[in-house]
Amino acid sequence: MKFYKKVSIVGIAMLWAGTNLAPQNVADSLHQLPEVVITEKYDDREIRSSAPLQILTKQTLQNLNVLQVSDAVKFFSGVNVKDYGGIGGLKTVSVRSLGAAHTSVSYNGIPLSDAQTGQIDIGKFSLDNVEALTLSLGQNDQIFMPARLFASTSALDIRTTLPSFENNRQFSGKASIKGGSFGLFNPSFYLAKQFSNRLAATVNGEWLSANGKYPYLLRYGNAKGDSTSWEERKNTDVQNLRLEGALFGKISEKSAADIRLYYYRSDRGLPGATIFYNTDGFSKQRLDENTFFVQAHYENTLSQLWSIQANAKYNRGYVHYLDPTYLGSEGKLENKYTQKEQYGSLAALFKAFQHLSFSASSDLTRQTLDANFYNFAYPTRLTWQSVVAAKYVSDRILATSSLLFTQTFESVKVGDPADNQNRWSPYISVSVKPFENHDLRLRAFYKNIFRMPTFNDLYYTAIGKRTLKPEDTDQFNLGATYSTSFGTIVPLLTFTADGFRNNVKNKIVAYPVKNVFEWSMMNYGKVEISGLDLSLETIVRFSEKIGLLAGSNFTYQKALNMTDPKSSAYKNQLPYTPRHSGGAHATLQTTLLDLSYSLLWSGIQYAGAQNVKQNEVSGYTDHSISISKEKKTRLGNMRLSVEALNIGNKNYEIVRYFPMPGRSFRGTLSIYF
Amino acid sequence: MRKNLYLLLMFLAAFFTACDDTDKIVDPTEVPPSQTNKLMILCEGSFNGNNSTLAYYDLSTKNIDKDFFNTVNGRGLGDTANDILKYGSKIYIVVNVSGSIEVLDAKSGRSIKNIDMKTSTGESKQPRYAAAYGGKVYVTSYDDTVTRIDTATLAIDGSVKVGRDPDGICIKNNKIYVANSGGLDYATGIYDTTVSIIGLQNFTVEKTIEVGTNPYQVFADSEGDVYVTTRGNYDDIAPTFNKISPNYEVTAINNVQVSEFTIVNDKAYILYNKWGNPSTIKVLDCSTEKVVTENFVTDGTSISNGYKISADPYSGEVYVTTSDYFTFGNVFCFDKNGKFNFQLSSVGLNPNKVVFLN
Repeated sequence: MKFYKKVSIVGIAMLWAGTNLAPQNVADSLHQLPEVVITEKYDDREIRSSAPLQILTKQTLQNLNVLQVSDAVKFFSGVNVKDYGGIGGLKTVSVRSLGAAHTSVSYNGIPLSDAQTGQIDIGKFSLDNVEALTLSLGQNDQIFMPARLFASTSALDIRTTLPSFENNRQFSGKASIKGGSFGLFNPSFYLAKQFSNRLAATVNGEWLSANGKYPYLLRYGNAKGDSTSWEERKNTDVQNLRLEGALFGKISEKSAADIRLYYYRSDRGLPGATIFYNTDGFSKQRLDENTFFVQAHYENTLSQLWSIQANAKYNRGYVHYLDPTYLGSEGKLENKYTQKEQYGSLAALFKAFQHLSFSASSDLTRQTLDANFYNFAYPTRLTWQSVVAAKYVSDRILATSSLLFTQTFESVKVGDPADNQNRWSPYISVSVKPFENHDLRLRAFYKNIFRMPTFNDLYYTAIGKRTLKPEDTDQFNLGATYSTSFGTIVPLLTFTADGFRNNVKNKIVAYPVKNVFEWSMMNYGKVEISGLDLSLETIVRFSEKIGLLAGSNFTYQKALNMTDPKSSAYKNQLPYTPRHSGGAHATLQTTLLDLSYSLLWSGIQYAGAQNVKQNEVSGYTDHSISISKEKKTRLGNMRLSVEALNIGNKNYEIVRYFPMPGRSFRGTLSIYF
Repeated sequence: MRKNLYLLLMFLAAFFTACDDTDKIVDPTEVPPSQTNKLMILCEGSFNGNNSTLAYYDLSTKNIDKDFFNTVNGRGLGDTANDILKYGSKIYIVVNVSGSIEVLDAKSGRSIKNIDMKTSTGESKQPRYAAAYGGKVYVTSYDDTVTRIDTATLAIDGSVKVGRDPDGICIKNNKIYVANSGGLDYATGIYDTTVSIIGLQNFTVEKTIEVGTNPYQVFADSEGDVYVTTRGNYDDIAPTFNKISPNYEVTAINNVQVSEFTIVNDKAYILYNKWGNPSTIKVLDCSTEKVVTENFVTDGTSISNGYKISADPYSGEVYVTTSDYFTFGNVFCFDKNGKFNFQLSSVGLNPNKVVFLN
C-alpha cells in the first residue's frame, strides 16, 4: 500500500511565484542610481504599501549569510519554507499557510511556471545576480502590471541586477568565487556592456557543485535515553549550471524594451528520508532537469495620461526523475516530463486624475505537459486572465482595487479533459495616514482568489481526478506601519504589525476512495488560518565610522484543519506549520570590516494530521555569523567574506527525517569592476 | 491375557494415530494456544515516517503501552512494519522500508536480533509477510524472493526466487504457498496472477498456479485447502476469493467480498470495508465451505474504516483494527458470539495485526 503513496509524493515541487514589483521603466536603469537612494525608496514602499510588502535588498541579502533564494525568504515574516535539507534539497514556500501552490514566484516581473506541480522549487535560484527579493501579501499596489500578477494570494519577485556603468565607462562586471564545506564550489561571472546610450547587454554565468555529504545525528526515538548514531548524508550531490543573457534598449524618449534569456541545468541526488536501519541504501534517486526561457518586456509612455506595456514569454522545462532501485519489473522507475509555456500580455495605464489612475490588462497563457506515463493524458491548458484596476494615491491615503476574470480552456489527448473553469476575483486594499506629523499608517485588505488544480492533481496515474475544482481562498488583513527616526543616531526605525485571517475551501488533498489501496485527489479540505506578523527594522549610526543595520520578524499563526468534525484531526494545526517562528539579523558596519549575525528560529510543529506527541517535530534555532571586508583595488572593488553557518551545530529538521547540515563554513571572494 | 491384548490394542492404536499423513503432523516447534493475557498490536506508521510502533496491552490490568518496543529497546522499530508473527518464544516483526526483521523475546519484548533484509547492493529487499514452520521463518519480499531464517541461529539460510512482488504466505501440505501480487507495476496495470508453491524440504518452487489478478493473502485450513484473495486491477478486473485444493485445483468462492481475512480454527474471518460505509465481518466455515455468519457482530456495534482482522485461537475472540490513514486508529474486540467486548482507542497509525500472548 505504501508504495502507491510514495510515487504520488514524487511530484517535484516548484513554486509559482508572482512578482510583486511591476517591471520598472527600463529607461531609468541606464542612469546611475546611488545605493542609498535605492534603500530609502524600498523602505518607503514597504511602509506605504496598503498590503504587507517586504523587500530584501542586495545589501541586506549579503549580510544574511544565505546562499540561495530559499534561504533568504525564510527571513520574511508570514513565510514557511518547507526545506528538505542540503543544497540540492527541495524547497517550497507557503505564505500564511495557504500552501505553496498559492504563492507565485516571478523573475523580473514575469511569473515562473509549473502547471504540473503548481509549485516552484526556489532552491534552484541563486542570489548571485539578485538585486532585490520582494514578497507581497495579497497584491502589490502597482496596478500597471500583467493580469497574471493579480492572480495569486501572495507573490515573490526575484529581481536581478540591471546594468549600471560608472563614470561613463562602457563596461562593468563582477567575478566571484565561493567555496565551502561539503565540497561547495561556486564560481560566477557577470558582464555588462553599454553599446550606446540606447543599448546595453548583460551576460551572467554561474556553476555550483557540492557533494553535500554532511554528518548528522540520527535519533532512533524521542525519549532522552534512546539510541542515536552518527551517519553521513548520502546521494546528496548537486551540479548546477546557470546562464543568462539580456538586452536592454531605449527605443525612444518614451519607450524601452528588454529581452532576457535564461538557461538552467541541474543534476542532483535525492537523499530521501533518513530511514532507520536503512540510511545508506534508502535513496539512490536522481533528479536532473533543465529549464530554458526567453522573456521580453516593452513599455511606452504614450502621453501624460496613457502608458502601455507588453510582455511575452516562452518557457520549456524538462525534468528527469530516476529511481534505479525500484523493485518493479523494469528494475527502475523513470519519469520524464516536458512542460512548455507560451505567454503574452498587454496592459494599459490611464492616469485619469492627479490622484486616481486606472489600468486594464489581459494575459493569455498556454501550458502543455508531456510525460512518459502509461496512458498519459497530454493535457493542454489555455488560461485567459483579464483585470481592471484602480488606484487612488494622496499624501494620506493609498487605495487599490481590482477585479480579475479568469477563464480556462482545457483539452487532453487521452480521456476526458478537466472542466473549464471561470472565476471573478475581487481585491480591495486601503492604507490611511491618520496623523499629519506621524508616519503611522493603518491598512487593510481583502482578497478573494483561487488556484487551478495542477496537472498532477488532475491527471497523475491512478490518483489524478479530472473533475477537481479549484481551491478557493479568502484573505483578510488588518495592520499598521510606523516609521520614525531619532536624530542622526537612529535615522530609521520602522515597525509593522499585521493581523490576518485566511480561509481555504475545497482544498485539494489525496484521500482514500474505496480502500487503502485506492486513493484519489479530492476537493475535501477546509482550513481556517489566523495569525499575526510583526517586523522591525532599524539603522543606528553610532558614529561616522560605525553603524548598525538590524531587523527582526515574528509570525504567530494558527492554521486549523476544519474539514471533518468527526475526525481526530479536526481543529488540529496543519502539518509542517509551526505556531511561532521568526528571524533576526544584525550587521555592524565599521570602516575596517562588517560583522553580521543572523538567526532563524521556529517553535514545534507536527509531522502528521494529529497534534500529538508522537508527531511532534522539535523547534530549532539556527545562528550564523560572518565577517566581510571591502577594499578598493586596481582590479576593482574587492569583497571578501567568511561565514560560519548553523554555529549551534544542530541537525535540526524542518521536514521530519530530512536533517539540515550542522556547522559549516563558506568563503566568498568577489571583484566588481 | 486380556490385559495384554488390551495393552497391545492400545499400543497399536497409538502407533496408527502417530502415523498420520504428513498433512496432519503438527509443527514440532509450535506451542498450543492458551489463555490470552496480553496483546501486542503492530502499527505500521506512515510511509517515510519512521513511525512504526508496537503496542502492548495487559488484559487484566488494562494498561497499554503504545510505544512498547521503544520503551523496552530504546529505539524505534523503523519504517512501515508490515507483519508480526509469534513463533515459539519469539516474536518476529517484518519492517518493510527499513529492510529489517526485528526478533523479540515474547515475554519481555527485548530485541534479540535485528536481521538485515537487504539486497546485494544494500537497499531494502522490502520484506512483506512472514510464516513459520519446523524451526524456520519464511519471509516474502518485493525483490521477488522468499527468504528462510533459521530460528535457532537467527541467520538467513536460504532464499528462493518466486513471482513478482510476493505478499501473503502460508505453510501447509508440506509446502509454502506464496501470493505473487505484481503490485509494483500498478502504473501499467500488469499485475502478477500466480501463487508459487515451494517444497518445504527442497526449498525450490515446485509449481506455479494461476489464481487471478493481483493475489494478496493466503491462509490454510486444517484439511489442506488454501484460500487466496486477489485484489484485481482497481478498474475493470474485480477482486476474487478462491480456494486451492491440496491437488492444486482452484475454485472461486462467489458472493463473498473480502478486504482482509484470516483463518483460525478452521473458520475464515472475513472483513469487508468500503470507504464511507460501515465495515462488515463474515464468517465462513472452512470444512463446509459455507458462510455461517453474514454479520458476525450481533449487537449492532458499527465499525468504520475497518483495516485488518485477527482472531484469538484460544478464546475465539475477534479483533478488528481501524484506520483512516491520517489519524491514530482503534482496535475493537468482539467475543466469540459477536458481542462488543472492549475497545482500545488511538493505538497507533495504521494498527495492523494483533498477536496473542500468555
